[in-house]
Amino acid sequence: MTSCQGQGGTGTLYSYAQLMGLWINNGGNPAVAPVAAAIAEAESGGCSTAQNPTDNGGTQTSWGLWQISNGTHNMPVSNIYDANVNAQQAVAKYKGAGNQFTDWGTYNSGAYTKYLSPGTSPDTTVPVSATLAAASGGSDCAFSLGGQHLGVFFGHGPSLPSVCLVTKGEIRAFLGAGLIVGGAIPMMVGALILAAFAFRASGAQGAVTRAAAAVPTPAGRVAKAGTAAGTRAHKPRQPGPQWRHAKTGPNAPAQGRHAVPAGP
Amino acid sequence: MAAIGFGMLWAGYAVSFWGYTLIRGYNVTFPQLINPVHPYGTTKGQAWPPPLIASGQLLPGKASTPPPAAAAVTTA
Repeated sequence: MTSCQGQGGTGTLYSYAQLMGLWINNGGNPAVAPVAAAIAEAESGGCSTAQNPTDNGGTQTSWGLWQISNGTHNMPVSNIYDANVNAQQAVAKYKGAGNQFTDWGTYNSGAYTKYLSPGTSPDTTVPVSATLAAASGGSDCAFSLGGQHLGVFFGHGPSLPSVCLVTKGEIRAFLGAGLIVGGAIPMMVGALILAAFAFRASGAQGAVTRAAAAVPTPAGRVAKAGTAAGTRAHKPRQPGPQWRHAKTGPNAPAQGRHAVPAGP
Repeated sequence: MAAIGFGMLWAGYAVSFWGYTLIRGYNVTFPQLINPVHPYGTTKGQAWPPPLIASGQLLPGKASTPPPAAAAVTTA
């Protein structure tokens, strides 16, 4: 790949097709990849270390291929010159604006149009500059295999190819999927508890039992027996003076909160 | 009983939602997401979707920054 010189140091020059590939590889909509690549060309010329310290009237610094900024002079993320990180930020920005490119001045002004090349196919095999990736500590591989040197000819031999077994993104995806499933369980239990509570508190439970008891089927007879048993077990309150206002008479309790001592 | 039900419902939702953000690669920590006073997105400088987790970083953490979408219009 060709190197280039930006204000952020020596970087990598990406072609239009590679910019499209970066956009797609980092979650961007392939349908708008030509526009995204044209914007990157207009913003940075395709140089990964492009930097504009006096952007937006000097109020902010913009960084990298898509000239990402958080509205200040601070880097949005530490490895913003990493082409993939820059593309990720650009995709997030595009999505955050409601799937529009209106956050880019070159889009609003139409300056990007002269870089448009609709017939170009995206190059999705675009690599990241190893130097930049290393400098940013940006390896996304969590566990890799190989890479050892085979010292077969007095220390001069081939190296095993390094294969990434699991990336950090894959670990996050597995963990996230587990959390979604794990969270769904208490969510369902909670919903069942609430449903049971509402079923009982609303009186629907009794209504259902009574309705089932009225059906002349074995299930209805069981429900009827259950209702009868429940009626025996939970006698309703007897309204009337002897229950609620029993202060005198033969049913007056001898003791208790509402007991009135017998007069002389 | 209703309180227990609501508690379990909310806890399950919070855990599932954080799982979703992990799958999407959003740089949002669990405390940020479930903060009862200022959940993520309600504080100035935070917008949805959040910035993505930086390359080389496994879990959301200190590298959390204001999302690019919240930035002023960039570049000349």
